[in-house]
Amino acid sequence: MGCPDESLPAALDVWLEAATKDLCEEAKARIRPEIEAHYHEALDEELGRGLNEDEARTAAIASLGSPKAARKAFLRIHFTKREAAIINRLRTCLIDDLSLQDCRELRELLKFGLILWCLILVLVTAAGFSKGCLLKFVAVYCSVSVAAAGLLVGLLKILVKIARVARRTFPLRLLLALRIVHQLWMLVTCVAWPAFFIVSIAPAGWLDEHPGLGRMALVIILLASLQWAGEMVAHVRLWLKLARNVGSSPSRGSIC
Amino acid sequence: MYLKGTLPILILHTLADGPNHGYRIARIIKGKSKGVLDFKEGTLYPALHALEAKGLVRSYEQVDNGRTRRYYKLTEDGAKVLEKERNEWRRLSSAVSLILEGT
Repeated sequence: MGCPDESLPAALDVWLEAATKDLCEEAKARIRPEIEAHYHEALDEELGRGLNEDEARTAAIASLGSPKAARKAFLRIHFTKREAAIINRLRTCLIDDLSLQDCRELRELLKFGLILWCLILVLVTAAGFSKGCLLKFVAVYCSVSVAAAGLLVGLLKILVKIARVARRTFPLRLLLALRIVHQLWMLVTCVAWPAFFIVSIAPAGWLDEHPGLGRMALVIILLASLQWAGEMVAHVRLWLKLARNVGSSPSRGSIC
Repeated sequence: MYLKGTLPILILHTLADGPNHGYRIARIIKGKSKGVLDFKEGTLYPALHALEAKGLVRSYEQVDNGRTRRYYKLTEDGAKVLEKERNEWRRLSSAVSLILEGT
């Protein structure tokens, strides 16, 4: 929007940068032309009132007010880059790529599980557990993991079928809610599994004998928990934003 | 003066007279209130976008004097909400008047 031949003053560019900071590209593309057009209207009016060019530019910028206040208001309605990425992933996972084999989310999940699994194996091997103890751990971990993975894949398949029926209009808030449940599950798993391992499977006195490994396990648990907790908070905030703005928004109809 | 939370209803009321763009909406609100209601125009657009997200207004682009502007138009839902909000406002303002101007 706005005249292409009209140059954009630096002050307006600074204002726009501050007002649209962290917003996704689509939101920026929606906001910038409107504000630019508004600025040019205001500039024309100020010039018409007899102000010189500099005064008119200053007055036109001043009429927009604080870019921080505008940014705060824009953030309530438009997606940030991170939120747009979350939505992109959700849609790619369940709606756009209907094949589970192409599901990026599932691949990430499996990659994460594999890394966690390798770390646990390294820890268990380093701890010098007896063969029986190791087998017991592997049996319990695998059976529960397989059951959980089976449940998850089953759930995803059902969702994909529903999404197909719903002609790719599966409610975003429901997808987000499912992701939040999944993250909660992962958060609990991050804390519960190692705790279960140490309390139920590790030989008595293991922690006293290997305080270094115990500390390392604690750090891993803490980092993993923080990662999932952070993800969960971001998803909950996005869910609340969607709940607050019911309908189709400028930067909500499609993905950044 | 700007009473927080009143901007959406003022925008809806302005759009009840016909589609308009952001700058003119701001001018109409400031002009009709004889400058009493003064708000920073940068916050008008988030309010417009929020109304659009709620389906109360619809937007479209139109070229005006060589400039492409985004116009906003009141929807049916918007008109219903405006009517409801007007009634609420009348009730509230008459209640406040009763207290402030009563004996």
